[in-house]
Amino acid sequence: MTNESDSQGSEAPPEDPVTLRALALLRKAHPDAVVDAVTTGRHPYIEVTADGLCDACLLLRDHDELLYDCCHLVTGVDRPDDQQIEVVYHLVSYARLPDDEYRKRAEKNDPWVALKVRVPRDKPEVPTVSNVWTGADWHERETYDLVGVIFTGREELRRILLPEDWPGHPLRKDWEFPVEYHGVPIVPPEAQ
Amino acid sequence: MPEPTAQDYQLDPELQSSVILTSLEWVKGWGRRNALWPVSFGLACCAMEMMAVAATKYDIDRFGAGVFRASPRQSDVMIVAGTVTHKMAPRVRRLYDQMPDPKYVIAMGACTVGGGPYVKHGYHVVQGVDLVVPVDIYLPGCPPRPEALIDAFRKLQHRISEKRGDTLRFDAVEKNREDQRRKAAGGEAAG
Repeated sequence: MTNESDSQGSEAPPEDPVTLRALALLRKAHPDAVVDAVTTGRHPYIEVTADGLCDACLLLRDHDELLYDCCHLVTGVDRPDDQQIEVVYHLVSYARLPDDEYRKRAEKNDPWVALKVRVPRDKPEVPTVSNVWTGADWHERETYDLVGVIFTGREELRRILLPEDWPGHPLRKDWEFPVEYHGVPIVPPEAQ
Repeated sequence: MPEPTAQDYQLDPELQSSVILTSLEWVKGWGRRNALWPVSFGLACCAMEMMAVAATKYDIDRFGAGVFRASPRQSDVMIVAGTVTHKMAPRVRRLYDQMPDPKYVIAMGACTVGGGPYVKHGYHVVQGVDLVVPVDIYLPGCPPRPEALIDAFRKLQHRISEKRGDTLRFDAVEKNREDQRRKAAGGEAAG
């Protein structure tokens, strides 16, 4: 018994079958698009190139074994240390809910596969996926609004939450509080 | 002219049982404080408690404040119920400006009193609605219970009958803005 538990402790962490299957099919169809992948742990993901993003998304949506028909979220992460901005896509398949592996994950409330794209911070341009999933439209506008990612190849990329004349993109790490906004004074956190 | 004394108001003993002497101001205050009509608008979760106050269980109508008007032009009191964002602030100000005098403001909930949980790192929240409109009653809580809002109304009624109106923080901000305007105008004239 003790041997068994010891061996379990020293084993590599379990691979995530949902991400593995998507990764295998992506590597087969678009080998140049996949940059990196993490298939273990709580937050597995597949990193793709910005140029290969649309191809990868179309494959994930249309392949019979994947059928990711819903883009659950698009968000951006500012990484000033690497001079990069990371755009994260979480994809969910409602069509594959009867699938066993998939349902096991769904019961744990995380039935998604995560895609990541890294772009340089001074030129954060990512091709749009709003023509793949229409629902990504507002997510992309939000990501533009708060992180300042420029999504190319789509119409009217304008702010969705903040006012039109808001200064900058507040979830950038180097964003600074304005002194006032339309006459209303703002006390920044450093001064409090 | 010397202050009138009690002697001056001495009534004929026959009239004392049938006549009440008071000031017209007091009657006006009595009317105002017992018919406070709020603007019906809510900004966030505090609005739920405001609705509860208007509904049967708490029934703010008992205190004459249950007629929620759909237009600021018919209202006396504005309950700022919920987080005021910088995007919303000009709209709140416009509603306030549209209300006829005399008008009163209750800042309901932690967000409107001083920014609440967003005060430090929330870039989008006004750090107190008293930077936008003058506030008469501050009602903390997240959100405040309906009883607390009733209490705020009672306190507001007290203030109306006492004719008190000190809105210190807003006045300070207004003075600052005025100074800045004057400074800017002076600078332009000098330049």
